[in-house]
Amino acid sequence: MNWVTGSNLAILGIIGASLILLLTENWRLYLVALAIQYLAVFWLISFEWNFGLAAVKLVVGLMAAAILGASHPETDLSYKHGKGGNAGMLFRFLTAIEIWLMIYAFSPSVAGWLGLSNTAVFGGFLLAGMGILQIGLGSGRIRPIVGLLSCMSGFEIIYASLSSSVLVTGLLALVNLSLAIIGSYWMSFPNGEVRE
Amino acid sequence: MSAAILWIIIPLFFSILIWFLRQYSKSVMYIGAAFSVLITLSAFFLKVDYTYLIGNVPFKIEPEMNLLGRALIIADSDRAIVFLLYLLTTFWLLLGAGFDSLPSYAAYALTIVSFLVASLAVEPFLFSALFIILAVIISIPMLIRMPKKTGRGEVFYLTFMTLAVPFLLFASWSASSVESSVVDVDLIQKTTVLFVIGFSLLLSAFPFFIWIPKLAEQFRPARVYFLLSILPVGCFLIFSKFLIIYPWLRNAEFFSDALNFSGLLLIVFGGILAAFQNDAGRMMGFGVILENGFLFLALGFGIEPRLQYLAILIFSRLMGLGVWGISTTIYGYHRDGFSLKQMKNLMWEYPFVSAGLLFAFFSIGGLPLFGGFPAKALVIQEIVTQRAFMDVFWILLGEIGFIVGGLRLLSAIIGEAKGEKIIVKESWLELIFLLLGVLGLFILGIFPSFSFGLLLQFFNKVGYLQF
Repeated sequence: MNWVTGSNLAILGIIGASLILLLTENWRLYLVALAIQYLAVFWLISFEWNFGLAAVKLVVGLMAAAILGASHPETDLSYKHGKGGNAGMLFRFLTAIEIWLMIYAFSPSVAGWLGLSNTAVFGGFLLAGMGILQIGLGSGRIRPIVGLLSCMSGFEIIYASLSSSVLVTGLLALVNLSLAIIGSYWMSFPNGEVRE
Repeated sequence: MSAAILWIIIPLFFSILIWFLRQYSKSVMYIGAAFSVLITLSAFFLKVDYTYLIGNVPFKIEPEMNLLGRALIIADSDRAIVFLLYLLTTFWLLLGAGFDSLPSYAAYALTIVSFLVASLAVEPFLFSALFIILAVIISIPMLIRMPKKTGRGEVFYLTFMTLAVPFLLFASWSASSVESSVVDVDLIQKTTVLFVIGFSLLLSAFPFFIWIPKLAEQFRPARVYFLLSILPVGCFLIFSKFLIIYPWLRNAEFFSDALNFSGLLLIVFGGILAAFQNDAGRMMGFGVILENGFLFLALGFGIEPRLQYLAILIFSRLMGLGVWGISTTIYGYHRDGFSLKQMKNLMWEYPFVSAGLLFAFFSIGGLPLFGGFPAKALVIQEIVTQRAFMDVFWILLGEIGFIVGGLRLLSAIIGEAKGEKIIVKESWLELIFLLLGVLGLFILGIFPSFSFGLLLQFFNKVGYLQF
């Protein structure tokens, strides 16, 4: 059986990138992983949509990564309150594996209900699950934002198989970019005490 | 001209314009408030799908506008909601013009209300969740922290609201399958579950309400209470529209029970937890949760009482939160910090602010003769007619908890009376705002038939309550 297919490579890309996003505290690596994650999302969506419409997801994702990168999130990325170090990393890694196994177990039944390919559903839920994990474990501002962006990307992979509305694509692009801008804004004013 | 251009596109472009002008002068705040007054009046007086003659030129507001292959439809029966949302925005902008230092507040508020109106107008209705989340995102820069307050209220707020979007879009997609197929019980159940999860996140049902007290504690009151007034109201109206569009959803076997249970949980948690808070902002945060509980209960009733109770509850909630917002904004203008310790002896320096705070608090708590009591009494009466006496017990428990919180606030505000003289430090403008607010709550509490009669008459006149 040939496992090296485009969709499986995209899934591997999602697994690798989302794991790096969860574990690393290096902001350059973090942003590269976010960009790779969006590339994998684009790859999966391009199986369902035409290239031009799918490319919107990639462009929006890369723009979101650039917006977040512009605010240098190095201090915001570190795990605080004893969540750092090797034990913390091992804990996060094991939790991620647990999430993968859980999603692997239930995605075929969801795919059956929605009438979609297992790859799209598995990839979508994988991203959504890892996103929620990031929101839960991150203590700063950037991790919840990237977690939300991951959740939305996961949802977009599945929803792309159900609908290809231009208005939804446009509004979701606007939501993703706005989330990135909010993340960047929060990092610029970490205490929220803005004076205009 | 279409109604969507008048009540969505023009306010949106105007808000963008004044956002760019914000750095030049604080007067953009007044311009924004004046514009909001104009839009509110237009929603009250201008009928949709009706030809006016301006001189010899006919002028008609069309109900429909096409946007990227979809439609934004505001029928004449939706005018009441547009009016309500803009009235609310006008109120908070006028308050902001008087006491707020953020010039871009008007721009954010008008953008938020435009997106909320768009979420109610968009067809197919499944897109409404996307407009709601855009309104939520726009509201984030508006939130400015109180001095020395830290926390992650805004992170929870953004997270829960954003997570609602996928569930609602999936549910709406699934709902279109339900409509096009023969009765499929399994599909209906799955779709209902998706709707329940999505709306639980959006309407801050148990346990997704934790952001409300955090937000109320951390951020400046004028903007937080604007959000806590307009967003839940917009979301509940969207929810009620979903219930009207999809009869199988409101007739689902467990749906009414789920709404009822969810409402009771919010009332009990909101009320009891309010009693143990040491910060007035957090207390009112739990008050908002308690109010949400009543809205859930009202939605659990049959279709006709549901919409009438919803209108009455929303109106009394807005009055209560409005007066609380006026009082806390004026308080925050003179003093910092909303902990009970910091509010000690307030009555001896700011008696009218104190009266406003207490009137609003007890009104939200539903104490007899205060503004919020008649609306809550109606809901309790409906529950009694259904012979659900245990539900009444839980409601009273929540109410008592909240009123105990109010008594603690009262005790802090009075402080230690040592025969001091009351000095009125409020300005004339502040006194006018406060007296009008307290008078409104007083009339609502003492003459409920008159106030609610006028409200229902208006809603009936434009046809919102007739289905």
